[in-house]
Amino acid sequence: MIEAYVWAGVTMAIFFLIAVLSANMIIFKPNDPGTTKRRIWFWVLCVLAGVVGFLINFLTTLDNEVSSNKSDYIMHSGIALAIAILLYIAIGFIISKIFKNSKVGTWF
Amino acid sequence: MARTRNSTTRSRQNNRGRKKSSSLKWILLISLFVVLSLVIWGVVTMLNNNDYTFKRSDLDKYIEKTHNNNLLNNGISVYFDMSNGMNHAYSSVHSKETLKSVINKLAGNDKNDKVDFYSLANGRITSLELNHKDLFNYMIDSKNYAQQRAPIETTLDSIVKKKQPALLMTDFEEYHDNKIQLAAYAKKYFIDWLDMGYNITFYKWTFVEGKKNKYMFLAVFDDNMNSLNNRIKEAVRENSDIDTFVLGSRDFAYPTKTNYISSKKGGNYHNSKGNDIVTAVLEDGSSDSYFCYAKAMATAEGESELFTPLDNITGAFAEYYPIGVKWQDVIRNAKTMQKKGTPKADVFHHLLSNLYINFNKQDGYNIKKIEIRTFDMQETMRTIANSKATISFKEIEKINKPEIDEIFTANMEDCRKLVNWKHIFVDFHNNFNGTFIDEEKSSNLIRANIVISEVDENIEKAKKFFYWEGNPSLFNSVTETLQASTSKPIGRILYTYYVKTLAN
Repeated sequence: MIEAYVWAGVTMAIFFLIAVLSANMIIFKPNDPGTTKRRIWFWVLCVLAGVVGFLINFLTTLDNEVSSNKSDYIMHSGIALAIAILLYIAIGFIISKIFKNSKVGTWF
Repeated sequence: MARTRNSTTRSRQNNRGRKKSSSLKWILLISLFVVLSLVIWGVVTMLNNNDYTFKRSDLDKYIEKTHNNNLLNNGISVYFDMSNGMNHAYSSVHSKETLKSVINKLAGNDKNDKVDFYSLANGRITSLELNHKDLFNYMIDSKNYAQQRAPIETTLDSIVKKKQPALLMTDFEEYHDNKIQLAAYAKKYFIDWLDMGYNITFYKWTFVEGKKNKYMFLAVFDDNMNSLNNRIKEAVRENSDIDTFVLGSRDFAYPTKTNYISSKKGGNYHNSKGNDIVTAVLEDGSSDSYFCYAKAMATAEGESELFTPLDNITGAFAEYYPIGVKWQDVIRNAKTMQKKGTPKADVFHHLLSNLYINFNKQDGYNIKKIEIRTFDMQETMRTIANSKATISFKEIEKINKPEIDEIFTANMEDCRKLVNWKHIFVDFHNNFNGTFIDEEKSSNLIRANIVISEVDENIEKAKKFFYWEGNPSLFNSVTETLQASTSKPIGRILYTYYVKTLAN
């Protein structure tokens, strides 16, 4: 059952890295600091992190025929989804406040 | 916007100071947390290492140590009743041929196959030193039946004491002071023989003495290996006038077999693809997977897939099922596979099934009911794992095996395809919801014995076979033997399922 959390965690970490990368790729322009674009990227990737993580977990249950194992794993995947999204937002908030003056600082 | 130098420097200095002390605090806090977690983890791991983890090899040891065979001594004794009442016993063509057949089967072939012949007459048991050709002529010569008083009771006593396979050919008419003994003189010896765990098979034909119809008996005293009994069975096979009555002991080897889908899979649920998706029993052939201790072999009669009677070579009537999910999940999965709309081949019927037993190979009892008795084997397994190889059977038996109530039930039903055979299956008890009072015990090894719980004596059958006018002694002996508490197979273990869940 731990695998559910591992998959969700790994997916979240990857998507978070993509968010950081994308934030850094959007350059400061004189009229347009790019804040809105970075924020959109941040939240879209947040949702994707959760959904893709859950999908990966769900796909691994398809070849499991034992129904109790299947439903238990899906339940854990759901919990992992919630935790992954919360962690994504929390870490994003903390990092954004620590590196206030950098590009990721504009997330929050 | 421009700032004055002083305020910037001051605030930066102040900020720097504050940051330094607060980060120090954080470092201390985090390191304390890390150390604490390491300590807790270390303690927990140490505690867990003291806990016993079950391995199937422990169960192998247990079965090897507690499996006992109960066989007779070597050697065969054959007793011929030569009293004058037997004069016409071999008069018909059929009976002569049967006698010849029996003697041929018993003819001493080699030194390891020692058969001793005795004649019973004049109140004495006398050794007969004849080869089998002379023996047959001796038996059909009416001159040799001049004497009286075959000491049947003494012979029975000798048979019980010698503890060897024995054949007694007689009409069971015992004389006492020149009068026919009508009391059930044989019962003590029949009861003792059965109490030791051995069987008596009676072969009978009718002959006429003067105006009376009498019975001629071949009483075979043997154990479950049937080394002597199989020979006699072969010898009488051609004779269709012969009736049989098997008086089996508590330990009688009821023919037992299973009808599983493969040699690596047991009687647990399998769907139409052959997968166990209810109990998820580990069936991959690894060292901790499902194992059947009973070995199937063809019997003397050529029936295949029967488990041979209990003996050291072929194994115990037991199986080991390692379940892959928790008990609550087994119940959940079973309910899922019973929902409406499940294809017929996938419907869940029983927790364990496809075990077949034939109770009709013995004639003394009608087995009416079976039950299942469940015991916790954790203590036993832990002791065996920690003990040396020299631990004795007695020490193992002393270990506490607490009985678990209301977890399984067992039933039997008639078999449509196999007449005479009963199909035995195991289900959950209605009051079992998957949880144990002590949650730690839920992953212990459980021993579930299928035992006989209710029997009826086949008195009517015995009467038809043994009773004849003027001398009810043999019938009474058999009846009293059947009614003796040491003969009844109540509590006899027929098969054992060892079950354990691997999920914790």
